[in-house]
Amino acid sequence: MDCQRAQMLMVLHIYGELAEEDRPAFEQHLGSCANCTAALEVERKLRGLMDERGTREPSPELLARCRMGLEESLDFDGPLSLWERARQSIGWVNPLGVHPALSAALLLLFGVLLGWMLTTKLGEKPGAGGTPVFEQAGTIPDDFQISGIHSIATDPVTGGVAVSYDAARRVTLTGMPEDAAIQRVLLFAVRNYENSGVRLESVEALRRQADDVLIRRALISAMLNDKNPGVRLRALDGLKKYPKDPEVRQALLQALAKDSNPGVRVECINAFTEFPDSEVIAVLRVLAQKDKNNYVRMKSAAALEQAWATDKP
Amino acid sequence: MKQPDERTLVLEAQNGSRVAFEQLVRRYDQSVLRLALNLVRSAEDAKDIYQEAFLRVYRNLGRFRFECSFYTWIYRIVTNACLDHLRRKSTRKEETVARTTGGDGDAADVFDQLRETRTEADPERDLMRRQLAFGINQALSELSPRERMVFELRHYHGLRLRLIGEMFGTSEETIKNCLFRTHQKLRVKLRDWI
Repeated sequence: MDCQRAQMLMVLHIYGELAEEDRPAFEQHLGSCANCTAALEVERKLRGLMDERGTREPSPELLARCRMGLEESLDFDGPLSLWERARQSIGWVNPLGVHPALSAALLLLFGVLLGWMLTTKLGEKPGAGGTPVFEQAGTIPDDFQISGIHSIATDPVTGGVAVSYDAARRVTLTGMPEDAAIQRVLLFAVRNYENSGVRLESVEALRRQADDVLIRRALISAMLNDKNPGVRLRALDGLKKYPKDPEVRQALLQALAKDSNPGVRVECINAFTEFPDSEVIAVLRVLAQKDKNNYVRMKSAAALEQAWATDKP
Repeated sequence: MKQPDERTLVLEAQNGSRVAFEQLVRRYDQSVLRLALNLVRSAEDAKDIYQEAFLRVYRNLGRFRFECSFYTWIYRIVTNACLDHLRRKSTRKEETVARTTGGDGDAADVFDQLRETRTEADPERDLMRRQLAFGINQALSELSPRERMVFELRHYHGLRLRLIGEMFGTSEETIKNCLFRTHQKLRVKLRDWI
């Protein structure tokens, strides 16, 4: 056994993962190699050092918050439809994989159909007759009119947004949330659109741009007025980074005192944890005594205690 | 009353029972949250991972075919949610590694630090401990998301490498190589402490 192999095995050895068949050769090598014996000691020290960091146990309060948030998301998500469940349950059956000849025939048929559709539609103007068109945000004129939103999707990796809306025709606009045209569609959706899923996606895209005061105001409006608690929570999430902004602070205070959803009230308490002032403390006092939700009462009492503790010299 | 076994719960949840799904969540959510909290060291981020992971579980439950244990399947999803989160963080370059003490959240860290400075009898030792914790967190944050996950699961959560391989959908050998590489990197970054 050479030193390189021995050094790889020593990492496995210190974690108790060394395979039995490797052990004799490994131990024999260690017995004859001072460098590897010293390296093993270093590995052990490293392992001990990493133990110093330890692990953090989530508090019951955090666990409760997570469970509550998940329940709300599931309420919002709704049960999977029968169709979706059926689709998932047969998803593993791949008829094309089972019958290669059939798959080839189907692919050929699909190709012929696609070719026919493309050649017959070639003469039509793009976007006419309800055909969706795709645009980059920068190519849209400033005075475009929106008649309805079809869908909004945010790419979690790049932060890019794709919004499909109906104007004179349906348009799918792609770009970053900071693009003016994208923002305009998103703001329209947050304020006017009936479908709460679309509003939620709009808030999700906008909350990343909350440094802009106009967007913060749209988020404040969504947090205070949207009828869906999921949308209100998402808007709150975008706003809580700005607890020193007077408008945001006032809105958070209002939501803390009046929102009908306990999850929203709890998140407001969390938002104020670092900057509790007399107004916040006054509301917390009331909630700690009178809120109809046990968890909100408990959370308010804990926040008050924390605020008092930090006031002490 | 006897608790229903896991297979029964999974089948009921697959048929649309929210109650069964919530019971499944409660079997695993504490360890999922612990993993997330230790990976990202921030209560809010851990909460996001928790939420995302269990929503993915919910939406894909119909695809689970009992080909592996439910534990492995659920952790595969959680692992992917954690990896996505770590990748997004490294893309945005917003990683902050200054959290060195216990407690859950960003705000909680501040309060915990305050408490500790009041009660710590040996400030010099406390300072060293904090510097070491900072150094370790810094070294961990510089690993690739995959290396970070493998190390967290093996070192701090005690999972066997074979199981980690199953979660990642790769071979045990690949995970062994990954752990070896991680140790090499940590040894270099923490050489002043060893």
